[in-house]
Order: sequence, then structure tokens, then C-alpha cells
Amino acid sequence: MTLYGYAGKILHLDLTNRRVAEVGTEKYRSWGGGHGLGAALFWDFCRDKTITDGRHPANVCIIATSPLNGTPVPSGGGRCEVLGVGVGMYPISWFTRSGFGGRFSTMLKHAGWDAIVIEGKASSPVWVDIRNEQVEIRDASGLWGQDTWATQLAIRESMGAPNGVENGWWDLNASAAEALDPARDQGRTTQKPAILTIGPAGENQTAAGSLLHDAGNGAGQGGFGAVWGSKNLKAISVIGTGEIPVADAKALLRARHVTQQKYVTPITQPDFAAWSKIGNVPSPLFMNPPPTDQRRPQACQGCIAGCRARFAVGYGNESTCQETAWYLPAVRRVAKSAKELAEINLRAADVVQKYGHNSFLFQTGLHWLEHLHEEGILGPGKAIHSELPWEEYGTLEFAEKLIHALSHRQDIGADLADGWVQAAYKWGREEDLRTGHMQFSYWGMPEHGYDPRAELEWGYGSILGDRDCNEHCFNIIFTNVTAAFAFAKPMRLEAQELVGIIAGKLSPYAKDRPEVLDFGDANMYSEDVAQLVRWHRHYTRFYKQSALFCDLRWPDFYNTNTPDQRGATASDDAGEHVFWNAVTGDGITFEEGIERGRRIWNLDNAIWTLQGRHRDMVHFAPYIYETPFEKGELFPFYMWPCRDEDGLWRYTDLMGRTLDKQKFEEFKTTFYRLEGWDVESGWPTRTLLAGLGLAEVADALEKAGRLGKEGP
Amino acid sequence: MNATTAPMDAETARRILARLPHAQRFPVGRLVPPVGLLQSSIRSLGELELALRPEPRSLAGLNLQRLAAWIETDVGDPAAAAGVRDVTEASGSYVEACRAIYELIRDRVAAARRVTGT
Repeated sequence: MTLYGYAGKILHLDLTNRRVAEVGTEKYRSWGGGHGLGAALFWDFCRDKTITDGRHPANVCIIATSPLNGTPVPSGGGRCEVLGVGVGMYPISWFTRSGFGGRFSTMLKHAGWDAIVIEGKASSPVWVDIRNEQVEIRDASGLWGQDTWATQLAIRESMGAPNGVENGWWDLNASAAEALDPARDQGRTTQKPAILTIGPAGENQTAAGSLLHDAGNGAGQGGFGAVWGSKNLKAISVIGTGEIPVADAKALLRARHVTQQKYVTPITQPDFAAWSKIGNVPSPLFMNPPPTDQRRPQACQGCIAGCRARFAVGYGNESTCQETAWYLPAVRRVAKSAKELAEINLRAADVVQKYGHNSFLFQTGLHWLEHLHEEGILGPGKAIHSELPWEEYGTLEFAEKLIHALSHRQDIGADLADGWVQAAYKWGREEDLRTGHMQFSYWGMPEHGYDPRAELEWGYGSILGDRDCNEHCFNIIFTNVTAAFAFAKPMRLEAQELVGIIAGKLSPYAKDRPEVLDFGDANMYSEDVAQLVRWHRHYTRFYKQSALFCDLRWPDFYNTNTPDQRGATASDDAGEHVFWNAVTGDGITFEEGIERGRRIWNLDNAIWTLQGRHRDMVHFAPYIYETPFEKGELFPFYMWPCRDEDGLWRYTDLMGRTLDKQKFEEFKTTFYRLEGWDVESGWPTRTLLAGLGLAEVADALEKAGRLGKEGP
Repeated sequence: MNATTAPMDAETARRILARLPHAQRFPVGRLVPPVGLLQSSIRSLGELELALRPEPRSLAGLNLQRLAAWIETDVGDPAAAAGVRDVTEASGSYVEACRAIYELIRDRVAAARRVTGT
């Protein structure tokens, strides 16, 4: 029977014994792909689910694709999911996730693999060479110590030039006879191998170690570079020539065509101020303008967005979003012109990419380090001794020295390597988590650009999960509305209309319940908001992290390109489930996708429970409860649709508030009750798990003495 | 007389280009969809110019009312502070005010560099 959308096999790498094995995908079919597939594989392959440091030899790292990878699903074909126990989180490094884009996931499927299970630890550095079904574990001693870019170049070189150099293609056929077999697609490709690798930050097992693919596709959060470093795994290279079977190609192309015709900003009449996600004008995503307009877009495979770029100047290539701004505030201290600012800033992006260092830690962490230095706490001979040249802060030379030290556990990097909040405690700076000088709000991770005290689904979703959720589903409400206020322009959608359109798509828990989006003071701890957070957790676990629809383009709730201003999400013509069904032939409803997400989310929670999770540890850093952002400090307002005292919807400024710790505890109880978890512990119950077809998970929790009590 | 035409002596120019101590930094943000609000701070008018520089996909974030007081008291440039107050009051929107202040500060910093020859 054809597994539409799947390659049909999972690659099991036993690094300890340097053995390669094959696992059938069919057993895991019900988990979809990506996170669901990876969590199920972790459950089966990780023998000790109580470990709380990803560098433990028992940890299992999963690289998982989706059925959509390699297909023309718009902004849904190029992402890849990474799972396993993380590194450097606080107080516990959870079973967690990360993801990256580019070409790796599609190439892996073309090679015939849906996922990779990485188990054990090699006795010396290795890299894995995948050429279709042929998989070799090779010596990486010559690669160890090299940066991520040099590693990829060295691997390509070691693989030799493609056969038939004059034609520029790889011939992966084992024999001439095989090459003539039309069913094997001739085994040839003009593509270069897709390589995922670690740099020095991962080799030295620092919490900032990330995985990097090509120039700038990184999996940063979770410290998976350190996980690979602990396993002596330097890189995985894959090149494949196979095909991906699709259940209904006509339906797939029809839905893509509808997306283009109905939802996407028309290229002949572009609306640069459209309120949409899938329908926005394709454009690169820099945090600061690059030093040149001479660039071309670069996208993950199959994507219509092109959020990255390659520049004529030769630096900053393929970096996007946060890494293009990690050093920006520092550069302003020294730059004398916009050009200089842009150049240092983008060259600093290259630095973190080459070291395989997660730049997101600097989102708030760099301000903290500067604060410590400027207050005379950090520096040569200071309470926190550092011989880094802090007087050069803001220069490219300092950025390189800082990243080198942090990637090699040198200087302050020796303490930061095991987690930044851990370092704060070691340095006696826990007060900084109270005052807000150190804004690491949840699980030892920096606050994102969305204030958890204002934008509740982000903050609540992160602390009720395992990491900074980094799911941009709802916050274009804030950015669109706030920008309109900033320009003093008329609203394209009034508050009541906006929440009505969104709520129409929040099936099943919150369908046509606009009150779930009311983040006003009177409603911020309500069951309404708990239902929204549930929907968000379940939606993202399936559609975003398992089906691997891109976070930057999905969901599309409202869309001012369409006559009724309703977006593509959950629609019958180009909704997420429409694409899923066209590829897999599953025939699920949108709501059944959400239900799949609920099952995956609950397996995650079961693993966290085995790791030692309890509701008592589910709380934000103290500053979230104690220190309001002063009104208008970073922007004049934080607009969101809320109901006023008369029940009328208005755009309301949510800037400048704190969370009430006791009321948030009550919110947790509500959330746990709705999820069917034990409200005293947050642990899943047997009834819940059995209902999700996870009775064996309930057995494991019971055996560990961590099965939740049944509710009334 | 306004911020552009106000005479600039060497001492004023030095203050405009000097970097203030950390304790006197001024918080600024930047609204960058889809990342959200990026936080940072500035410690000189030169940094303010770079922070306010117009960019097609993001907006500078700062408290305009407090900005004038900071420029007057901490930086020590009453003429620029008065200019900031004037353009803030005259602007039809927050973004319009930011753009006007950017031009004012850009000119002010350029004048200071001419005076100091840096």
C-alpha cells in the first residue's frame, strides 16, 4: 500500500556501535510527521525518559520531515523538525523541539527517509553520509574544530565532484542497469548535497550550540548542537534522487492555484499594507536594512515567501529574522553611519552562523551582559571576571571574540555554557530576574519580542509548554493594529469584525467565541483565554510542527485580499487540511488535525512528567509578576482588541502591566481541567491518555508513580 | 531660532557626540513584524539618529514626551529638545513625528561633527 507523502522508511543511527538500521514509517503513520512522528519515535527509542540534560548518553535526537516536504504546498514544503531532550534550560531541560528550513528535509525524503533517529555516542567524531539508501558513518576527525561553513565545503569536497562533471549531475545508481530503470528516476540529480552540521559551540557542548544547514538555516533553541556534540556527531549529509508520491496531485495544484488567485496579494496590484499572512507580499526579513539593494531572494524549498536573501556584497547571506539583529544595539554604540551599522550587523550574523551559536540568547541576554559590564560587575578583576575587551563592545572584533569565547567555554563562556539563568545564579545575580535586568522569562530562555504580560497566548503557551513557543499565529493582530495606530491610519478591520473573523476559524474549542481573544485586564485569566491557549497549543503541534506549515505564513486568519476578508486557514478551498489531504489522502477535517495536535501535545506532557515536571515549577521569572514595562518604554502602545466595560470591542493598549501570580495559578487550574490533567500536579490521567490511544503511556506513568489523579 | 539654525559652540557639539554613562541611557525599541518589539537603548544623539533611521519594514519605538527631556537634561542640548517638542506637537501621527525628529537629529549631529571636525 502506498504511503502517500512519505518515503516509507526511517533511518536509525546507532552511533555507539556504528550501525545503521531501517524502521518502517507505517507504524508511525497516525502521528503525521515532524513533531508527532518525532515524539513517537523518541518514546519508543529513548530508554530513559527521566533524563534532564540533552548531553546525557541516553538522549535520542530525532530529525523528522513531514509528508508535505518536497511538495508544492505553499510555505509548507521546506521545514524540518528536531526533537530530543534539550540543553541549558531552567530549571530542567525538557524534551523539546526546534526547527529549520532550507533543503535538508526535502532532500532527506528524496533519499528515501522520513526521519532520522540518532542514538548513542560515537567513540570519536563522525559524520553521516547518506546517498539514497546507502548510508555510511564516516570519520570526522578532520572536520572537528571547523566552523559550519568550512565543514559543509569540506564534506562536499570529500564526496568528490559529481559524476559527469561536464553535465554537472550526481549519478547515484549502483550499476548501469539500475541507471536504466525508469522507476528509479535514473538516480541522477543536479542538486548539491544538503548538509546539517554543528560548529564549535556544539562541539564544546554549550547550551548555545545550534544545528546549521547551508549558510543560515539554523535550529537554535534547545541546544541541539550540544546534543550532537555530546554524541560526537559533526554532520549529516544527504543527497537523494527519489520521488515523493502524492495522493491527489490535481487537488494539490488546485489548492495552490486557489491560494495564488484568491489569498495572495496580486502581483499586478500589490497591496503592501495587506492584513494577511499567506497573502503578504514576498519579502526578505531583516531586522535592519542591509548595506546593499543588490540582492536576490532565497527561500526554503517550495516556499512562496523568500524571507532570506543573498547579497552582492558577499556577507549576511541567508540570515533572517533575529540573527540579523542580535548585535545591532551594540553596533549603534560605535557606528558612525548607517552603512557601517549595516555592515557590522550583518557580518556579526555570519559570525554566529559559522560558530553554530544560537543568536536568540542575545535577544535580551546581550543587554544583560552590557548592564553587568557598565555597572562594574563584569570585567577584568570584577566580581564576574572577564578578560574580553569590553571597551571594544559594538565592534565586529568584539563580536568575534565574544562568540569565540562563548563557543569554546572560555572566559564568561565557561559559566554560560550550561545555561544563562544557571550562570545568573552562579554569579549571584538572581535579583536581575526580579528587576528585569535579565529578561529570561520562561524555562531559562529570553523573552521574545512579544511581552508575555500583554500578549497572553505567547506567554501562557510558552510557560505551559517547554520553551519560548516562537509561534507567530496571533501577534500580527498586535503588529497590524499597532502600526495602523502609529501611522494614524484608518483601521482596515474594526475590532469586533476582526475578532469575529478569527473566532470563526478557532474550531473546535473557541469557534465563534470572540471573547477568547479578549486579553483585557478583566478577562486575562479566564476560561476564554484558556480555550484560546489550548487551541493554539494543539493547532501548532499538528499543523505547524508536524505538518510543518511555516510559522511565518500560517495560520492565515484574516486576509484583506479576499472579498469577505477571511483568510485561508481552515477554509474548504485552501485550508491546511486541504493541502494535507491532497498529499496524504487522509481525508481529515480541519478539526481532526487539531485533535491530532492534542494527542501529540499530550504525549509531550507525558514525557515532561516523566522528566519531573509538576505544576509547582510552571511559573514565569519573577519580573513578569513584579516589574511592569514602564508605559511606552519601547513603543508608545501595545494595541489589542478587547471589550470595554459596556462589552463593546475596542482596540486597547495593553502596555505596562504585570501578571498576578495567584490569578495565574487559578488560570493554570482552569487550563489543566480543560486539558483533562490532574489539576494538583499537571500530570495526565489514564482516562485522558487511554482516550487518545495512549494506554501504554499511561502504564509507563503509573509505573513511575507519576500518573495524574482522575478529576471529579 | 530653531534646532537647525541654533548656533552650536564647541561644548554643545562635544556633548551631542559624547556617549552618556550607562545609567543615563534612554530606552528605545523597534517594532519589527513578525519578531515583535526589539529592545535596546541609546546613549548619544548619534545613536538616536541611527535608531530613528526610517526603514520600510519596521518602526522605531520610543517615548517622545520623555525624549525631549532626556535630550535637554542628560545630553544637554536645549535647542534640539525644543525642536523635538515642536515637531512632536505639530505631527499628525507618531510615525510622522519620528521622521521629523530623525531629520532634526541627523542635522544636529552633522553640525556637531562639522564643529568638532570628526
